[in-house]
Amino acid sequence: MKILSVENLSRSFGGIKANNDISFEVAEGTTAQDRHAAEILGIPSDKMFAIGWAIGLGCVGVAGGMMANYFFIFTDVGINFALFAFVAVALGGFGSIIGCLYAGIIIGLVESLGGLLIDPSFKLLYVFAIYLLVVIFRPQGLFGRY
Amino acid sequence: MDKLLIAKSEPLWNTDKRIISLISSLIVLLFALPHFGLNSFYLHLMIMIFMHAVMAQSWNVIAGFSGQISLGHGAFFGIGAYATSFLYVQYGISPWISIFLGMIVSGVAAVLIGIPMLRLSGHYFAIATLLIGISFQVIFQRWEWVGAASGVWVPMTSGDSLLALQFHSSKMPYYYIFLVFFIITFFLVWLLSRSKLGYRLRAVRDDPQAALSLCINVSNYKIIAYVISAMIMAPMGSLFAQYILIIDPDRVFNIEISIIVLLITVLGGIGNVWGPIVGAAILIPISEYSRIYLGGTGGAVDLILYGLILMLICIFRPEGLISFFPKNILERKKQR
Repeated sequence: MKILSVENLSRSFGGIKANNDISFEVAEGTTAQDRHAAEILGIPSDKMFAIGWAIGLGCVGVAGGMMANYFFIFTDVGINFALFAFVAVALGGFGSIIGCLYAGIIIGLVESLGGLLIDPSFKLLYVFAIYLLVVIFRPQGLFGRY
Repeated sequence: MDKLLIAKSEPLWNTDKRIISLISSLIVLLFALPHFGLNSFYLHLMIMIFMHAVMAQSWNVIAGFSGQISLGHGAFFGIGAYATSFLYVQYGISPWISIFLGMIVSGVAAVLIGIPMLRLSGHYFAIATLLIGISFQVIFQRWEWVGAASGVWVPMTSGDSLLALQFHSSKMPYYYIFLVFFIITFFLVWLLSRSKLGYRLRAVRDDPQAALSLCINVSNYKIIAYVISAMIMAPMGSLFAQYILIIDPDRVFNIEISIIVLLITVLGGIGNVWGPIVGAAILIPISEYSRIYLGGTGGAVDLILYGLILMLICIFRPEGLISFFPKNILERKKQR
């Protein structure tokens, strides 16, 4: 999968020099696995980290903007969601895009249905139990590769 | 890596004489310190430094020695705190006994958590422990038998009582009790770091597969490190509960405990026996003093400053503050 505009962005940052036809996703994945090996291949790992941060924070910004329409806003509001974000990524498997989506849906369903059907004061625990159960039987998450 | 080649444990007397004299003079100084007319604020500061140094050392054993990042160490702190307070309130058991009961309970809890969880690697383990730490808080907030969200109130004795571990007239006894626990813990961890077990744990941290090829049972050693770490953490919870005499789940199972422990260790120098002392001795006074001088000004200037100092240290001293000391001076061998 090639994200063309992002690839151009990374080139315009002075990105990939030695190996010009490597895609942006591969470059990011390589940096995530082994930054020294990535630097040997001519991938500037510091820039890759910076771009990864930028894309991630951009996604969070979009999520926050959408949330502001129906949720109350206060300065600490992000803390409520940061924990579920960790769980969603780890449940889906690090580095897996589709895993994140499925994990997000699972977490949302478990939290709401568990609160509705069993006991709302233990809402957090149902999500945690699902995560721990999945990870015991599948240590790399649902769709993770490593 | 050269340490891995030395497969036998090193005896303590095989240390540079200057280091031994430095450490023993420091111990004498700490024992004499309260007699120099410290007021109760400074005693409190010292008690907090001792407590956080031991807590950080506990995290250092699991994360620094065996390389597993645990973000849920507040759970063991809370287990220790609840063990003493609850047993004293319900059954009148002296805290001196229930400190050890708390250690055993948290050791068992560490085995039960460790067996399924330590198979996980890296981020997955860190997030699993984070969730377990929060789960303990949620469960204790709803558990009526142990007082639910209002916690446990330890009834106060009429005067100072060594048996009930309560001292109301002065902070001096607490100072000495924390100091003794601090010295014992650091001595034992120092021994651990020079023993065969310590070298094996570091082998597991540096390269699990290479350790496996040397017949080191990686998962067993991870669990051993986790249990040792939990058993160091629990007595501090017990003593903290006796120090403040009122505990509730929000305080003793707080996620901040797990985070501050991590901060102190990383700041002082992870994987080094002496790192947590340096980290606690720098970080706790900074947080207290910035709160005293800037906390009243509004706008959380103290927290901004605190965070700024942390970031600067992390950027310019990634190996921790212990790297300001000459390299390996604390582990220098006796010249033969």
